Amino acid sequence: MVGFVDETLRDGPQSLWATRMKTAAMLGATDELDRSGFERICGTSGAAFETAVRFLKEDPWERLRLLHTFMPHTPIDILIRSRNLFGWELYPDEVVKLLFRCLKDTGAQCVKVFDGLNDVRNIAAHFRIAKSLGLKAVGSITFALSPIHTDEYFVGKARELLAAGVDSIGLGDASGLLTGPRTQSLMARLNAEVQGRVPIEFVAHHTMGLAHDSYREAMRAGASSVATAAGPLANGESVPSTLDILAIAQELGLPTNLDVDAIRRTEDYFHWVAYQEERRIEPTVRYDPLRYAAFAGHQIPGGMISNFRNQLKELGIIHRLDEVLAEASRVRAEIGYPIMVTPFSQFVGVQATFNIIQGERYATVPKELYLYVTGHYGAPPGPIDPNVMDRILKGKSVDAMDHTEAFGASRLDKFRSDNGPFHSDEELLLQLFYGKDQLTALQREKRPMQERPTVEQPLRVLVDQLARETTLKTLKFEKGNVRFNFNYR
Amino acid sequence: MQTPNSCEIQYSLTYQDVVEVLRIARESQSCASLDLAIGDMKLSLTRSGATEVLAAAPVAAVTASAVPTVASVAPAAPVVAIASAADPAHHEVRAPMLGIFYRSPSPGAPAFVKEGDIVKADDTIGLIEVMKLFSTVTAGVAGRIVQIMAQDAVLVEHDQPLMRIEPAQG
Repeated sequence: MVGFVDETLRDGPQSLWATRMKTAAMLGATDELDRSGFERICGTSGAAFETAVRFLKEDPWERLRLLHTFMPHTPIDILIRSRNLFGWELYPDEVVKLLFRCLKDTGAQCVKVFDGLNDVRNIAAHFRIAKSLGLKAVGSITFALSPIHTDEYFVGKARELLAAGVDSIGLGDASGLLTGPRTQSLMARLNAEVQGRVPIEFVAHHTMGLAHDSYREAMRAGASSVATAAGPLANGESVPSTLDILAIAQELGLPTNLDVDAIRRTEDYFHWVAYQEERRIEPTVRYDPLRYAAFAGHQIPGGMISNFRNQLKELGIIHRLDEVLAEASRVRAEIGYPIMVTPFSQFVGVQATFNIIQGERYATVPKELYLYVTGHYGAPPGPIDPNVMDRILKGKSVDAMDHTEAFGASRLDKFRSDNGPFHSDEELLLQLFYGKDQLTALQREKRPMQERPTVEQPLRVLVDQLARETTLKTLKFEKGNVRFNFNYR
Repeated sequence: MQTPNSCEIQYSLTYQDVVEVLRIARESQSCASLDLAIGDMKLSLTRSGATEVLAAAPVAAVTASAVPTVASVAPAAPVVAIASAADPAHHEVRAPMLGIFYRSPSPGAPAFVKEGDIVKADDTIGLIEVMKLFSTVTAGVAGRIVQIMAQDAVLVEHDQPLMRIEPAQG
């Protein structure tokens, strides 16, 4: 038996659509998603929350409540980015507690917590807090390919997560670099360590065309669940498609709870959403060893590379993209192989850009990189190149820093008295994460949803759209029992 | 998809069919007529004269430019213009990179420096944000801030003058 965790509404849009899927588009799929037989459906993440507020001017709390209302049979889970939570600073335990309580109040039942440095100290409190609120907690191990990230290293992380009291362990490969054989060896080691005390969940992006191999091995090794998405929100930088992985599960003789008809209908519906939103449907890529080798050096996520291109274009040095990426490989190694997820991918990418633009390495160092090398975010996975350390510190001495001391800080009372009163804790959190201007803009511009938007049936949609055409004289259409003629004026 | 029993309704036409037909209809603007049969689907269309064909073009243009980038929103040029006719003895602090320039450590906080302030070479005079990462900009020389040329929270180009400092004597 293998469970499926759906990422059609979260990882798919985040990896392929710059997180721009609207609440209305999501609600159009809730009936089918809810009867698909998923173990859980991922409802949101820090990126989704921020994009909803900043760009879509939609209330992300309202979205979560609506998703729960219209998918009453499937538990909703939430992806949590370490101590950044849904913002960009490192927040103390009391903010974790408040956020989790608000999430729980929307009907969410599970949090999946990852830390980009795999520093379990950063997220141990999250599991305690989740448990005290009755939320299920998945502790994620974030995979990376580097000399530091050995099977042994990950086994150690699994041990720490178990000690921190997680309900299950997630193995996540956001860069899509896990091959079949590496998945096999890693899962075997993890199984030996975990000994069935908690289930092991699996998720990987299909970026390199390897996800079918890694999912196959993960399922063979007894992964309790795998994360997938409906076809139009799958593949490329996203997770593989539900139906593709279901086919592999069936080949392996693993039973599932999936309802194929519901999943097909969900896929079909999102083809229409994608067309309206002018989103391309990712083809399944095949593994290409050259591409793998080029990517494995810097491991900068695809979403960030497109951002990068824009930046380099602005600077008029887009022709030096390859140089910047090669530099990113060096920077990544020099600063101890942080995993290339938010915010560490930014540290590496931006530093590489500075190094190339300025022609002198580490001449300008963003404050965040300074904080990173001095342990503000937790322990870097590997040692930092001493020469680079000198250049970053510029002769300043490092105070021995125990960043965990700040976890017990209390700042909410002051924030409330300085900025309040707030109508709700939800509002307070939005202002804490994104600032007053964003909250005010959201309140001014958001349109409350009075009822669930109607989803028109395909025939109606087709006729509607064709009727708007301005260049046609006649049109004749026939398929099955559907037949119509248009004569335009 | 709305009614509870909708799963029992078998529709022979899918959204994917709809998308396919619309694509064909919209991507065949240069064809006067078209006849197509794919599987059990048949589509034929004819088009009127060339004038209407042209009318369709602006639609595509609008969607292509509909999403403004952050960079194109904030015009930096008027700020730069002030920089002319300067005392050559003054030191210009220039932006080390493209990004959003901030004059204070956080919104609402007092600015790092104002005109007339005396600064040391490694004093912070502002922050530049690139992709959510903040770099500090230092004065570079000791002296007195004579002019602040870049506005707060506005995009600055690489090497754009931010402030002018009259170096301290000796």
